[in-house]
Order: sequence, then structure tokens, then C-alpha cells
Amino acid sequence: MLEITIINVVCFYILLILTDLIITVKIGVSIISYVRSIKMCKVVSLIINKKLIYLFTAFFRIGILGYGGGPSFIPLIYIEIVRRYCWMTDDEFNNVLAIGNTLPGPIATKIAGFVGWKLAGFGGMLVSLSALVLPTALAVIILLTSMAALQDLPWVQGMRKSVPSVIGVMLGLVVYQFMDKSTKELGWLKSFFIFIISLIMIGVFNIHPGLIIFVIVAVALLWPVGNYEGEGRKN
Amino acid sequence: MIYVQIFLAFFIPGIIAYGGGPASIPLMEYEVVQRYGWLSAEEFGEVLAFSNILPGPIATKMACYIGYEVGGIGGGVVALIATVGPSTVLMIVLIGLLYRYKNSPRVQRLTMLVKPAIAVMLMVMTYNFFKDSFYHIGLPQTFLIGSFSLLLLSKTKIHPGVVLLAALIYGGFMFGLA
Repeated sequence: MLEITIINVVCFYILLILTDLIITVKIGVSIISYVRSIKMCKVVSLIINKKLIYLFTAFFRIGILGYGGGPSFIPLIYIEIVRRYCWMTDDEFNNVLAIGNTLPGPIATKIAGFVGWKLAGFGGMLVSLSALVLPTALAVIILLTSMAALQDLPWVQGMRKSVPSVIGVMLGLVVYQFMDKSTKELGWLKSFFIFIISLIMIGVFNIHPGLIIFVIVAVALLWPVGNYEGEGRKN
Repeated sequence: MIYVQIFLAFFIPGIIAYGGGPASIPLMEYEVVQRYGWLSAEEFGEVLAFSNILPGPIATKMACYIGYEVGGIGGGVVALIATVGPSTVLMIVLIGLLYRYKNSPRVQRLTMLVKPAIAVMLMVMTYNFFKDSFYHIGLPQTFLIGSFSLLLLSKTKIHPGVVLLAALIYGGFMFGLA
């Protein structure tokens, strides 16, 4: 029984990866550039009518690689959407994260839905959402009956243990990007001021990051625009 | 009628849970176990544990499965739409509004000011991932896997998915079979 389950799961994973590979090769991308994370901005802008397929493969990949829900998707989405396909700039991604965190509901699907909508309207939204959600949701339905025993297997638990540090490194690289850009735009002083304040709020007082971001969004939008564009300093 | 119930059971956690998927799971449990009694608490825990070992967003996996159990394929689809739809629509409307005025000084100010706070939020997440890793596999292994993947991710052009898969295989052998 257990062996059958394991074979099921392994086959399922191989099937997912193969599907991804076949789609990638079909749209004219070589396997080498699939394994190497080459910037594909130019290729993508040339083949506009295949946008939906690209959208599907990108979020399909994100969906089957994101392990542990929620935050683990953010670096993967950043790498695929901003770095690889250039569908968003750093600034846009930053805004999307800000708004996404002030709204309720799952974060990865909000970002996916928005990227799809931005690129190809309602159809794009449907494609990106289903690529992200459906493959693994279907897997739960198909495999649940035979898989209850699987979670106790030592190697399954072992596999889960090595993932957090890799995701941590990926996220750390995104943080570095953001800090670097932020100090260039705002200057060291202002960006570190906001940085330290939010760090104290989140780290010491345990305030939800979404709330802090909401306050910053509100101040930035509502504070009168003077000749001085600062963080709302009083005259 | 059952579809309306399924929709409500997943719509409410999706729209009031603040802080992403994990925050919505206790609310989902309240709706599914307490209010509608579709699953027992143990069954819900089993579905949750199982959703955790597969990749992909957790809240949507659970919604799809429970919806399917209760109302067949239609139920699964309704549950998915109820979990994902409302927040996505809200997101598109708000960001669309922001983009319409993207040249206004206020929106540009917003983009600049919010960046350090986003960096802090991501940094806290990074810290939690490393803490998790430290707790499970200790400092030497965390350092080893971390520095190796940092090297691969920043100095070579290997796709991050390949790095993740390599880490999965390493973990399976190293911490599972040893």
C-alpha cells in the first residue's frame, strides 16, 4: 500500500515537471535556458500571442515549487515575474506587495491574479490563478485517500527540513534588492528611519506588518503634497 | 443550496482573515467543523497535515478538497472561487486605481516610502525561515545549505527551481535516511 502511494506521488511529480518541460520546449525555449535562469524579456515581447502559455508555465512552476505556503511564494514570484519575464518592474512589485498585504485573503493568489489581469485581462487572470492553484489542489483530491501514511515517512519529513534555508536565502536576496533601491531613491537617512521604525514596530511590539504598510500607504496618499516630498514632516 | 453554503463557508475566512493563507485556516476550521459539520476536527487536521506536505498554496488546496468532498466537482470549483476570487478582485481594483494615478506625486511618494517597510516585512519572513531551519536541522546544516544555495543563486544562472529540487533531494537523503 505504502509503496503504491510513493510511486503515485513520484509519478505525479515527474508528470508535473515533464508537462512544464514539454510546454517550455514547445514555445521555443531550449532546455538549457530552462535550467539556467536566463532573462527572457525579449523573447516574451516578440511572441505576444503566446503570452497566455508563458503566463501558465510561470505560475505553474511557482505553484509546484512553493513549499510551505504563503511567504515561500514571494521570492519565486519575484524571480519569475520580475527577473525572468520582466512583466513587472521592481517598483510595481513593491506596490503590489504593499497593497496585497493591506488586503485580506491569501497573498500568492492575489499577486498571481493581478499579474494575469495586467498582462491579458480577465482570461489572463483565470489562466494564472488556475496554473498556480489547480495542479496541487487536484493532487490533494486524487492522492488524499492513499496518502495519509506518507507524512510519517522519514524521507518525506527530511525533504521538508532542507527547504526553509533555501527559501530564506532567496528572500534575503530580494530584501537586499529592495534595500539597495530604497537607499538610492530616498537616501540613507530617510530609508533607514522608516526601516528602523518598522523593524521596531514589527519585531518588538509585534504589530502586524500589514497595518504598518497600511499606515504608510494612507500617509503617502493623504498627506498634502508640498514642494518638499518627504515622509510627511511637519513644518 | 449546498453551493451557497460552500461559497459562504470559504468566502468569510477569505475576506476577514488578515495576514495571508495561514491566518485563514482557523477561521476555515470554524466554518467547516463547527458551523456546518462537514468534517470532524480530526479529519480537518488530517487534511491540513496532508496539504502541508504537498507544494502550492495551502488555503486553496484545503478549500478545493473540502468543497469537492461536500459538493463534488462543482463544490470544489465554488470553494476555490470563494477563497481566491474576492481578494483578487479587490486587489485588481485597488492596484488599477493606483496605476491610473501613477504619475501623481502622491503615488510616487507611496512607492518610495513603502519600500523600506516591505523590506522589513520580507526580512522578518527571512528570519522566520532561518529560525525554522535552525530549529529542525541545526546551525551547521543551515549554514551549509544556505551558503551553498546563496552561491548558486547569486553567482551562477541556475534556475532557483533546480536549486530547490536539489535541496529537497539532499534533505531526503541527509535527514530522512540517515
